[in-house]
Amino acid sequence: MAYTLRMGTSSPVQFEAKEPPPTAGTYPPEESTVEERFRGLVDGWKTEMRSSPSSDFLRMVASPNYQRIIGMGPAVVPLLLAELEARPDHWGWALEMITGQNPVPPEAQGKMKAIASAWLAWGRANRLI
Amino acid sequence: MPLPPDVEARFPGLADGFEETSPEDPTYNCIAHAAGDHEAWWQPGGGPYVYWPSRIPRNYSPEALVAAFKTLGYATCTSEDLEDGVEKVAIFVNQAQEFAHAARQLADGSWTSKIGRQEDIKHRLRQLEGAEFGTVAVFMARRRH
Repeated sequence: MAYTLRMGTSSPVQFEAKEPPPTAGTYPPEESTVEERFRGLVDGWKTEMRSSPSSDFLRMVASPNYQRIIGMGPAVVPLLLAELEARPDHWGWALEMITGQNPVPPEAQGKMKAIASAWLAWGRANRLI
Repeated sequence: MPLPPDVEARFPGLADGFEETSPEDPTYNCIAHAAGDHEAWWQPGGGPYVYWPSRIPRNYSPEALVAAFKTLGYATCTSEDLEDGVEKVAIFVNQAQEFAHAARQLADGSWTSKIGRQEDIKHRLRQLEGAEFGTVAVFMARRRH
């Protein structure tokens, strides 16, 4: 796959973390459940995306919040599927990166709602939702 | 929900006024909107998560986007003027000489654009020129359906 981080911007894309980097002794945050941390990252990602005029898909999935969701691993797959069902968005990439699966049929290429349907069917088949 | 102030601020030309014509929708992007497709995310690339017409170069050259619009029946033209029965698109090219945005002309002569994942807006064409999207470089036209 080949993407370029350029559409909608006249200069190379640079990402800025929206929260301070973790410091020693704060990770993992004991007070946060997986669901709470996931929800915070989803909200942070949506806020970040809302403040950008970019149409670049790779910019969306390369954002720090999105990458941290992927970094949470298999524990968030049911949460991602539930989020996808409640508020369809570009979560297919994260699901593919975490699971190594790709249930999206060729005719659904680029169609977010069809992609969401394919992932939800996959989730049901695997008893994750 | 109105266009976010920090997004609006990136397009000084919009200070003259514009009209939001849809809610925020992450389903489609600006190129898809100009193409009249509100189901897919049009972007050069591969894999299941972006759409690009088959056999069209997968790069950000203006020529690649021109070729993509040709698959929809558009041909290049020289004027942004409103013409009876004709639908036009305008391709914005940035300083890197890559396409950065596309807008579509409405029947009343105004233009419609999708700003990122945000709302569709109705505007005057040149209002979106600037550092973010560059300048209008190519016009294309087809019979209005």
